[in-house]
Amino acid sequence: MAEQEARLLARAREGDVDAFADFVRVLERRVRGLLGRLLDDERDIDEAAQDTFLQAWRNLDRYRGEAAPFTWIYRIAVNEALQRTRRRRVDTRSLDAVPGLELEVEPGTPAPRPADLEAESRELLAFVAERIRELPFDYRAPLVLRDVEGWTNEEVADALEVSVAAAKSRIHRARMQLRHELDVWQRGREQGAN
Amino acid sequence: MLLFALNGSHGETARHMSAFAEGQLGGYRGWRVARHLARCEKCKALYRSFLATLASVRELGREDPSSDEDFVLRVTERLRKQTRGDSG
Repeated sequence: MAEQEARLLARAREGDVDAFADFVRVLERRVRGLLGRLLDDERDIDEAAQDTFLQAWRNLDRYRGEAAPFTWIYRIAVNEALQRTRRRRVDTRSLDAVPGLELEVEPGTPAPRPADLEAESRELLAFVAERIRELPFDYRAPLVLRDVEGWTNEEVADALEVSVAAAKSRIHRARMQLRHELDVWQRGREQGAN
Repeated sequence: MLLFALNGSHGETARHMSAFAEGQLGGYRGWRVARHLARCEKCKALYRSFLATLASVRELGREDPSSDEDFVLRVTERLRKQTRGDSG
């Protein structure tokens, strides 16, 4: 697949628009999928995806083939999402300000109950997906790239233009925030069931 | 003081949970977090729920939208316009 994509890019670099259209066709689902996980607004997602491919077209001569074409386009997409978020000054509150993210376990705090993975329902996954969407972008993006897309900490840091330490810290804080929310949600459900 | 040095703290354990879970916390700190988790029921429970959360996030997987030929047309249309603009 990567070879096919590389061949299409090589032809596109010579000005072959049809080859580039085929390249878009091969990757558009994955790019729109990623942007859907990074951005909120459906219209914004579509525009960002279009702009990602247009950026790629403009920068075809910069593609040196060190990374797979998909990795290259993914980085452009992440950058596009980042730029849009910065332009719009979307919620960038620090998770420090989010109540319930105290990392210390206070004496007397009831022990959180482990989720029973076997019993995890679609409802639980829908809740997790919804809470990820509610995270500030600075935390959502590293979490999505690391835990949903499976990137390494170094790749996340590189794509988001932050240090590896900062990327790790944001990923960790996002995970802890989700853990807390999931715990509260599960307690609420259990209380409702009693 | 010696006990803290040996057993670590709740805060330290929570701060390093991601690195510990991913096997990236080696050396003395890794040893101390492991030792703390083995002795502290609250942190053990926190760690279990942390792992369960991580599993849930990873389980979300990458569900991509269905393919959209119109999208391809929209991109190529913009691209052709741009190319014409550049050459004209």
